[in-house]
Amino acid sequence: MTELVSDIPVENLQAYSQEFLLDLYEQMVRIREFEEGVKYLFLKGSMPGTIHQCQGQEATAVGVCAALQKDDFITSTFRGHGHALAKGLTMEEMLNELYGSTAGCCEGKGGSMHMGNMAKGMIPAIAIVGGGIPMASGMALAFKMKKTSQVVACFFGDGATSEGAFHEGITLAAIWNLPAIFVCENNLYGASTRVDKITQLEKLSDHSCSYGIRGETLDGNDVLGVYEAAARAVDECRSGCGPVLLELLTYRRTGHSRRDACHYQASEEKDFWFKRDPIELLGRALMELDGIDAPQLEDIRDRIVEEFDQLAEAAKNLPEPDMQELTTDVFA
Amino acid sequence: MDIEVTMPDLSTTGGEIAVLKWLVEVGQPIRRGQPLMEVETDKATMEVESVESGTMKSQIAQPDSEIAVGEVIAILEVKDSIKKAAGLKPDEDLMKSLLHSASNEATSQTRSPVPKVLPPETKPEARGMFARNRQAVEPLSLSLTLSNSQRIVGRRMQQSKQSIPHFYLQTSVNAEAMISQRDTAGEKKIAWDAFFVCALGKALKDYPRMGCRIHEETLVPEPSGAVGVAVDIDGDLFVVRIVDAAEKQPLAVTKELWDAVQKLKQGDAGSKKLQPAGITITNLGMTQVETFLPIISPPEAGILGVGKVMPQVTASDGEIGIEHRVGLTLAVDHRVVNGKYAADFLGRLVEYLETV
Repeated sequence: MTELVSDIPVENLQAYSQEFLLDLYEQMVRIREFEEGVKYLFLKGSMPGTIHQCQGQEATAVGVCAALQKDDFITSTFRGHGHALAKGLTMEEMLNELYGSTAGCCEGKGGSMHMGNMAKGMIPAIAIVGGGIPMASGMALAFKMKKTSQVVACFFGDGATSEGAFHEGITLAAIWNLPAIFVCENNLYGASTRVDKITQLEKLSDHSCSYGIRGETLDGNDVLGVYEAAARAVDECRSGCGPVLLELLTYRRTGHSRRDACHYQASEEKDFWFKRDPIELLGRALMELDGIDAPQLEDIRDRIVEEFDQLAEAAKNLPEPDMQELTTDVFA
Repeated sequence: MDIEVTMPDLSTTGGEIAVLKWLVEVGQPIRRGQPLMEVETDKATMEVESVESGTMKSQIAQPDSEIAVGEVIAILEVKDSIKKAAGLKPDEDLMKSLLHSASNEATSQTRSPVPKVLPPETKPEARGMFARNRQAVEPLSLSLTLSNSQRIVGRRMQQSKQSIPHFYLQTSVNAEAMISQRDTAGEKKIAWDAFFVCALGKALKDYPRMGCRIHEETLVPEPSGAVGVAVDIDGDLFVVRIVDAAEKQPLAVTKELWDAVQKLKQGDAGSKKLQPAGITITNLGMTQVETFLPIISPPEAGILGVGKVMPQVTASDGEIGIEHRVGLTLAVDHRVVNGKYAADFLGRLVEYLETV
């Protein structure tokens, strides 16, 4: 069994600068408050469409992306807001995108499920389950053929491991030792189907055996543990020993989408995971350090909430694409 | 300050949302995110969460009513500075946020919840494939029970189309010889079908494999050498069987067919029973159909589809002429014969038809 932490020991923090640790914390809070803010904009009816949110899964996105360089790439999913923020997209370009504005990161044509910014190392997110996996292998092949030192981290959920694209994409990456980190965010549910109904494996990382690559399962709510595992995987990939399969155990605090009542999550299970909230885990450990106190962490949150509110108001009044733009920037 | 709480867009098909019950009471303090009411969408029972902290001032939506998305369901009384209650901010910041929320109010009232310029796929009438389907499907006011005969035909045709590897050969035949025979017969009248029955009977003798049926791994000849004729009796499909067709004349076959049809019309149970034949013809020549692809009637190995007789421009021996021709399509079970054999069979059939 994979050990799930109930507290991050303060010793684990000693190797890092406070600046780095506070940055991890701030990034997770930014994702949480962005998602919460978006949720209420949706409930109030001012934001169209549906949304798939990642409250509770912040540590996977932040931990993995912290181990990447700016010119490394990620692929993401329909639940991609956290990945985008962690890879350096701003709340502003994302809110503008959610409101369908030309000032959005995809000029208002992508929306919630296709956040991305090539200049920041994120191809627009792929909403097809498992769809990013072969694309990540293709990108990694390009990096290898061009002899760059870039890597790609490919995020997908537990449900994607049952897709043919998972097998095909990882097989290709494995036979050519491509610099790809396959990051399975196992939040225990593929939409409403619990993961133990779709596999006989105890750990989804055991899939790695069949491809002859290294796999590892760890607590996806421990942002430092995730960062360290991702950093190891990045090193292996850069030295030509990729790919790597990481399984990060985590939990979403919301429904699959905003229209999902989420009755299938058992209350004991919710309690267990809510007590292991990734932001609180790091927050508690941080407050053990000299010079960091609760008000300081609270200030981070307040600052982000205020920024969010201002950006959301501004986004509502930005122009949408013209009808003449309907067929530009699209393949088909 | 009072704020209006509206019904969020929780349904998957854009339909109305049914209110089940309130989970809070009027006068009760509410925090942001607290479930306010239980509703039933087209997909699930869900809770509507409060979008602000405050006090429940009045409940507008009533249990058991249906509410459209965006309709006001309750009024909350909200303290203006509730979100910044920590008091850590200097007054300047508080003022800014108050000014900001005031301008929010103005814009949120003037701004329609739906964007002004809609991309085509989100127009209200195009929303929700399921909603559209629900509107469209109206049951037939008059439902018909399938006739016995139609049930059997349906089952047999389905079995045939799914299990027999059909291939189709198409040609046309000069009908002038048949026309002159019919003219000669005058009052006695020869049915078109009769010519095809006689010619098929002869061609089957020359190409006996066409009259075989497949039984597991072997071919079994159909001993009667009979030719079946598909007939329409008041909308139902039956097959009349003509034995020893090769030895009969078109006039005799016409009489046999006529008698059989009369029996079927009178509801004769014995003649409705399907008898084995070597091959069957199906003739739509009395309609506007020129050619069609028929379905083999198992266990037979082939079926001939006959279209209408019509004048056509032809070229023969370098001369352009006009002659009456009729389109034929032979559907064949590829397990029984291959293309060449069936084509030769069809060629022989054409010869017989053009020399009646």
